[in-house]
Amino acid sequence: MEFPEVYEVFFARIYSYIRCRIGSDAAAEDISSSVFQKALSRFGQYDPARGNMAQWLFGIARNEVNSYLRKAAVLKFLPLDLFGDIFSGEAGQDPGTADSGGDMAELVSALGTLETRERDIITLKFYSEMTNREIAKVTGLSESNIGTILYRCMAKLREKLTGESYDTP
Amino acid sequence: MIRPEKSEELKKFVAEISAGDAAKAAANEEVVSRFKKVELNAPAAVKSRISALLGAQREHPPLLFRKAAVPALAACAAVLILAVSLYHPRRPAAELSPDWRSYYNYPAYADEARMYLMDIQPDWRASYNFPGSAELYGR
Repeated sequence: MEFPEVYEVFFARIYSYIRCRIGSDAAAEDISSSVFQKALSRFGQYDPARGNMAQWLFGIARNEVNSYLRKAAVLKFLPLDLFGDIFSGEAGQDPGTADSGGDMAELVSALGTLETRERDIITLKFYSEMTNREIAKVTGLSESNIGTILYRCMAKLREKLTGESYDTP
Repeated sequence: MIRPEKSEELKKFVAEISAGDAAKAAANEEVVSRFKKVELNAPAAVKSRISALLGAQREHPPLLFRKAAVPALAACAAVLILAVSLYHPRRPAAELSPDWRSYYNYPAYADEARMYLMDIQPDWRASYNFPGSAELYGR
């Protein structure tokens, strides 16, 4: 698979993953750009024996997002309650999300109720479409732990987005 | 290329967590569709901006990584190595004469050594040793 093809296949998925984790359009654009620049410069180093393309790309994206969140917290460029504001829907909506309307805000708000690790894993599941085993490999958690976290996340999201009662496993 | 349908893995995931419950399956489908909307609404402008950026990076890689730069870099490296080897010889030239350790080369003893070698009396500094003083002192 050549790089332009990889970009075509994965751009929307990578962007959506970052968008859902960060909660900001502008930052998502910057980080997406950085992810694909890194992927392009290291494309020759990609080894299919060590994992599929989704694992490789989402691994880079995950590192970039984590690095962004760490810097944001350490440098205090962003207030500590930034994500609380964004995910609770109190902050103004980014102009870039106007096309997706209230759905995006509602989803972001629902994701705000999850813990950071849960948000990471559920967005990885939906956008990378990796198996639980592959996600476990990328995140360093056990496969059964991933399954439990996903089950719990889905219960919380169902409750927030469809009103179904939250049942713990 | 945006996938209109969800993958087999997602279908399997939804079926697994629904556990045969139709109401739960419908709710799960609703959650999945919310995530799908974000992917479908990924801004095309951002995609094309990043694509242009990557295109420029592909066409003009950094100078050091261009194939055309290899001979020039090799030539520069060769000139540098030559210059260093010419101007910095491995064995530095001796700045002292081989007899620098000799007794008479030490400043404090140089005069005494010279006197010894030239068979001059140790009291050469005495005033009566100065020219014309022999008569003065009657020697």
